This record gives sequence, structure tokens and C-alpha cells, in this order.
Amino acid sequence: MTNTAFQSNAHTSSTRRPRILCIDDDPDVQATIALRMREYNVEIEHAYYGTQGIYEAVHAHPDLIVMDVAMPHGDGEYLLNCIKANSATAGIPVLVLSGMRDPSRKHRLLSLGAEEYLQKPIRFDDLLRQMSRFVEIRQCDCEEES
Amino acid sequence: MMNPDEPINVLLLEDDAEDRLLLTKQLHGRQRGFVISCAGTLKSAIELLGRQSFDVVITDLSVPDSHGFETVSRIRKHSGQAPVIVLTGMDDDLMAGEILAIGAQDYLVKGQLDERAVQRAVRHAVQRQRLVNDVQQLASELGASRQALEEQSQLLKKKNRRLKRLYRAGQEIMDNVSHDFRTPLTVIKDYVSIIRAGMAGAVNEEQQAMLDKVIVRADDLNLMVDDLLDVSRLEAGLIRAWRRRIRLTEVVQRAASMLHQRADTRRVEFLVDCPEDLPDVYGDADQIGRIITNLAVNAIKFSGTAGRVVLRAKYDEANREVVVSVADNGPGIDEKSLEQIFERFSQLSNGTLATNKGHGLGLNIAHQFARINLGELKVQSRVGQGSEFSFSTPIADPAEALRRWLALYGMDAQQLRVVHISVANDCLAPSSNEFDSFLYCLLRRDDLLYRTSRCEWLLVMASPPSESNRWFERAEEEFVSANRNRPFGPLPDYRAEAYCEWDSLVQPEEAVRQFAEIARQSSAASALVSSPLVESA
Repeated sequence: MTNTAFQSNAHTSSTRRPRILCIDDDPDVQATIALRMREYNVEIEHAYYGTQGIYEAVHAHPDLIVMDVAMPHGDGEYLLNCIKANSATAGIPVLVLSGMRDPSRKHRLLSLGAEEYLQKPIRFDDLLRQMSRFVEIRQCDCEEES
Repeated sequence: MMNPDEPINVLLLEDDAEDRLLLTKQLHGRQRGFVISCAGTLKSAIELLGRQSFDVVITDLSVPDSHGFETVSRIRKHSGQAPVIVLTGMDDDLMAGEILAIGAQDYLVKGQLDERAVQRAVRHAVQRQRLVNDVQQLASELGASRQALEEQSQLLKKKNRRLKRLYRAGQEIMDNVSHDFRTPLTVIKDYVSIIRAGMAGAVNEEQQAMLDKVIVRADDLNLMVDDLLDVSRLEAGLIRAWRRRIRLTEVVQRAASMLHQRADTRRVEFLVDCPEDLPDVYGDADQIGRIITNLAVNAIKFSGTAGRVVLRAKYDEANREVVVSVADNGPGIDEKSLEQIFERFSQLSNGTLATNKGHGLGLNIAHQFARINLGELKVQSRVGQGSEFSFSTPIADPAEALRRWLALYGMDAQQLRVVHISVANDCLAPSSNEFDSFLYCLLRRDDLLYRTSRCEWLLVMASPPSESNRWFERAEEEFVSANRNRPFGPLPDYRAEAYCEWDSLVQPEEAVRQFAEIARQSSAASALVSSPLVESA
């Protein structure tokens, strides 16, 4: 896996914190990611079901999307289809993070344009490394932040 | 066949008493082989035909109640399977042709026949008719059994479809249940990791050690769910290997991250020795990752506190494979238990599932995955010194892949067929990769698919010709249906052609040699436009 291919996608500059949209119907999954990311210089947006994810993707235009597959109101495949079919959001890199292991689903999602299919549970370090391929993630000075 | 001793029942329709007498005399002759019933009119002849069965009907063309060819066709309607011989006063070819055309079998010319000729003509007519009847009987029986077969085959198809549906449904349930297990596990693990990291307040060392154990145990459960899922798929025969050219180092690194944490918690030294310059291998990255995880999890478990586990990948040039080994310094396995472990493996290959107590399902899964990835799982162990489990994967070379695949699936096949599949040379990587995924979805369990370049594939099928022909139809159907709903536009157009066939007599070495040549040509042709192909794990 090379990082070079994706550098053009990283919109991040030192003036703006990268925004990551997290689409997952499980609030605890959302909460743990948000907790972990508190130490980093990023903004996390949340969406809890498929269509909300599409809405947020269009309106918030995040730098990266991390999404689940099995969700109400538009599952991962539908969501990815919509994101990639819309020219306004097609360029946003998408990481799929799912507890599903079905290899055919994985291939379908990759062929729909997901950058990576990651499996839950994932070690936070591994998730961070994957996210860093697409956005610049720096550890922040927490004291200053809070 | 006709029994020569059985008398032949003859119905003679002739209104002229003199002719009747003559023919009767000629038929009776010296031997009494004929039983003759006479009728003077068509009506009485038809009545007789309704009452008893005759072996042959001899009829005059003109009788008081019927004239000419009509007599013959009306007799034919009632004579059933008995042949009709026509008595005629004239002998010309035109007439003969017409008589036969309306269904008579033969004709006799009045006044031109002697006793032997008449008898012979009648006997032959009967014999011919019986043969015809036999053939017709056989044909109708054949038709009936064909119909029965067709019905059976429809029934089987229906049952097969139903079974497939049930299998799929069962698999879906399995997938969903395992997903539902994993979701809370993920959350448990994440929260514990967050607490462990001190993000929710200070945690002392003792608490850290406990939380580490919770994480490892949560991983255990997760691995068990993975094992159960794999086993259910293996048992259902649903597992296909998506064999591709992959970098083993990446697969090892991916698996190692969880393993390091686990080893640390158990105070086991875990070393990874995976050279950067390993040749690419040909296999399914996920499945190879699962083998590594399963072997290493066992090793960490059995090496005990202060143990040492070494995960090593090594290129074996002579065997054209990379061998990944996991060695521990645990108690080792005695010979009897080793035998048992491998006995169980052979049971699993026969479709029976068995767990090796203590080793869980992990070893069986590793064994099966190694096998469908064209390698082999081996174990060396010494009691008191430790065990080393290792598995091999072929290097990414088409000839090597085919050699191993033939040994695994191909040898009993009646016919092997190589199909060359390509997309346009200028097709870009994302698009040809999508087509690669599409081909994977079409793949059956025992097919060998080798991507020789960015835009070319070789597919080897070991199935009867009728079935491998179906592949082309299925590919086309699936292609159309895949293209129906794609946000980025259609998949690239492809060409698929049967490239060569080998029958069961071909020597494996010869097939491998030819395959290497085909692969060389196909990758050389596109080398100009595409860079060497390594797929991300």
C-alpha cells in the first residue's frame, strides 16, 4: 500500500482541521472513535443511519468517511453507491469498517469505490494508520484544546 | 422375432371365389403354416379385424363395397399393426409406388405367382412388420424414458435451486449472527482499550494488567466467531480462495499487530522475521492472514509465560514457495497426539468436522486454508522443546500455481479447459480491477483463475465440457446484470475464448509447460502498456 497515490486527496492544510464523517448506527462505536480522536487534531461528524450519512456527506463535505455496512435506512452498499454517484462527494475517500466478514460483500464494496475494507474489531493504531493515508492527523496539544 | 412354428393368421379379403381358392391353396401348400380367414366384403373384413388379431391382411383392390386404393386405406385404418399386402391384376411401377404410398407393405400380382413366392412374400411381410413394430416399441419406450429423465432432471434442478437457496439463507444467518456477536465485542474491546490507555482517568499497573486480559479474552471470542464462520463456510463448501499475486510481508504485518498485543499480555516474546525481499506469492490474502493468526494464537497460548514465539517467512527457491512458520518453545506435542491432529485433518477433508481439543478449530481451518491456497500445513514437534507449525504458499508464478492446482483438483477431471479472458489493453487499473472482482464472483470453488497482467486472465476449469461451456453463458448473464446498476458506468467489455483443452491423458508436466508458455505470451503482450502487477493485500 502506498501513500503517494492518495496525497492529492488530502485537503488538509495547517489552517483547517481535517473533518472525518463517521457513519455507524451503534452510538458506542461512534463514542469510542470520538473519544480516541479527542487527542488528535481532527473534527469528527456523526451520522447514525444511511440516509443521514448521505446528507452529511453532501452538506459537511468531510475529508474522509468511515462507515459501517449494516445500518438502517440505507445500508453500506446503498450509501457508497450514492456517495460515489454524486460528483460533489465522489472524491471523498471512504473507509468501510464492518463486522461483516462475507468476502463477496467486501469485493462489492471495494468495486463500488471504497478505499479499504476494515474489519471490526480493529485496533485503534491500525485504524489511525489507515485514516492517516487520506488525511493529515496530528496529535494535538490537549491542554490547549480543553 | 417370429417363431417359425407358430401359424400365421391371415385375413384374405377377396370377393372372387376362384382367386380366393387359388391363393388359399398356394398358402397352404405342403406345410400347414397359415391359418386363413376369408372375407368377401370390406364390411365383413372390418368386422373380423375387430374380433380377432391377424398377422397379415391380403386384400383385393376391388370388392363389392369398396374400390381401388380406398379399400387399402380403409383396411389400414382397422388392421392395426398387421401389414397389408395388396392383390392386383396389373404389374406396373407407377401403381406399385402408389400402393406402397398409401400404407400397404407389398403387393402380389394375380396369376403370376407360384406357391413358394406367395408364401415367402407373406412370411416376409409379417417378419418386416414385426421388426417395424419392435423398433416402434423401442422408440416409444425410449421416448417415455427420455421424458421421465427430463422430468427427473427438472425435479433435480428444482431441488438443487432450493438447496442452494437454503444454503445461502443458512450462510446469511451465520453471517448476521457472527456480525451481531462482533458488534458488542468491538464496543467492549474499544471501551476497555480506552480505559486501559488512561483516557478515562488514571489506571494503576495492576488494573492495566487486568484490562489487558479483558482485551485478549475479547479477541479470543472474536477469533472464535471467525473460526465458527470459516468452519461453517468450509463445511458448506462455500469457501473460494481469491488467489492473487500478493506481498506476504503486508499480510504478516497486518496479522502481527493483534498478535504483538496478545503476546505482550501473556508475557510471551513474539518475534517477526519477514524479509522485505520475499518474492510475491499467489494466494488469498485474507485466508493466509487467518492461517498466520490461528497458528500464532495457538503458539502464544501454548508457549506459556516467558515463552518465545517466532513468526518467520522464508523463501524456498527449490520448491518455488514461501514457507511461513510459527515456532514456540512450549511443551511440544507427543507423536501420538500429532498423529491424531493430522488424522482429524483428513476427516475434515472428507467433510466431517472435528476439533482438536485444546487447539480449537484453528488448526483445522489453517490446514484447509493452506490447502485451497495451494500449499500445505506441516508440523514438527519435540516434547519438552516446542512445536513448529509451518505452511507453504506458491510464489506468484502461473506454472507453479497450475502444477499445484492440478495436484489438488485437476487429476481426475475428464477434461481441462483453459479460457483466455481479456479487457482492452488501455483499460485503466481501477476499471480492470473491478473486472477482476467481477471474475472472482463468477469463480467456482475448483476453478483456477490467474491474472497474468493488468488486462488479462487465464481461467482453468476441470469440469465436463457441457459445464465449462455454461461458463460463457453465465459470464455473459452476470456481466449484463452487473452492468445494470453501476454508478461509475459499465464494466469494461471483455473477450473470453477457449484457448486450449487437455484430456485426461495429458501429462501434468506437459500441461504445466504449455500453460507457462500461454501465460508468458499473454503477459508479454501487455507488458508494454502495464506495469508489473501486485495487488494490495
